[in-house]
Amino acid sequence: MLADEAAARERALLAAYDEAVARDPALAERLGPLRAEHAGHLASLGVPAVPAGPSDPTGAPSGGPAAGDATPAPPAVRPPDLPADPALILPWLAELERRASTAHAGAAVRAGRGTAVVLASLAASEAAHAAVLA
Amino acid sequence: MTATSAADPAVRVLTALLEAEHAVLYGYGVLGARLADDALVVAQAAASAHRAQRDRLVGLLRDRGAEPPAPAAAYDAVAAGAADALALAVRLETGLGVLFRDLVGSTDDPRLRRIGVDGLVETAVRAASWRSRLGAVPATEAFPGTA
Repeated sequence: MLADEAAARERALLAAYDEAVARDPALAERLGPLRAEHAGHLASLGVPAVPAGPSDPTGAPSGGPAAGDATPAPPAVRPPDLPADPALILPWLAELERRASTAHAGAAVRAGRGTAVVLASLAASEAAHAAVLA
Repeated sequence: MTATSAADPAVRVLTALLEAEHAVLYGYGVLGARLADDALVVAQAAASAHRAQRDRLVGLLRDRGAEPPAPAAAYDAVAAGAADALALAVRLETGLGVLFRDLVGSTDDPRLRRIGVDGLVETAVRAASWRSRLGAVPATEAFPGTA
């Protein structure tokens, strides 16, 4: 459960990095290594890269916590949208990283030991991402 | 009291952390001497954070009836120049991060968990900042604490 929620946060970050690079392709070189670390985070959580979810006849891609999802969504405040001003893209990513770090850290305090060490490591990685993006 | 302490795995990890913080503080003294200007200010702030962490660990060990280890007279830490100093800072922070991760994995006490998580976060942020100064790309690690 905590690992699934962490995986959802990682998927959201991957999507945010993709969105940022789509908006400003010049950021690809700088953001690529950080995005790769998130892909590693997602893999480490031992959950499918694409949320399995209940069989969805529409096959609609999940771009985040879907409203009609049968699994209880984490109590998340909707993250801010990608800013229009290119100068604000990195601060936007930094803010998303900070939020993910805080959420991972809180989960690491509550999780079983095996999951906790993974979540703690992810919290630390996201915090460092936020620092280098700021 | 020793029986109680020895039976508590958290005491072993907290003791290892305190010994490491002693070594890290010594290391920051060595590397600070090779830095100037902004980097020196950052090193001094880091050392200050480590002193606070050391004092906190001393308190946590005493709370558990365990004897906090004293610092050694000297540690193996050398830095011939500024780049050496930055690399040493990276090693000190990443090495300490491993122990904070150990703390997370060795206790179910939420307070100690929080200390472990926050310690791992802080060491990873400082390590990334030192790696950035070294020009490392990326300056971050996917899995801090697993080095």
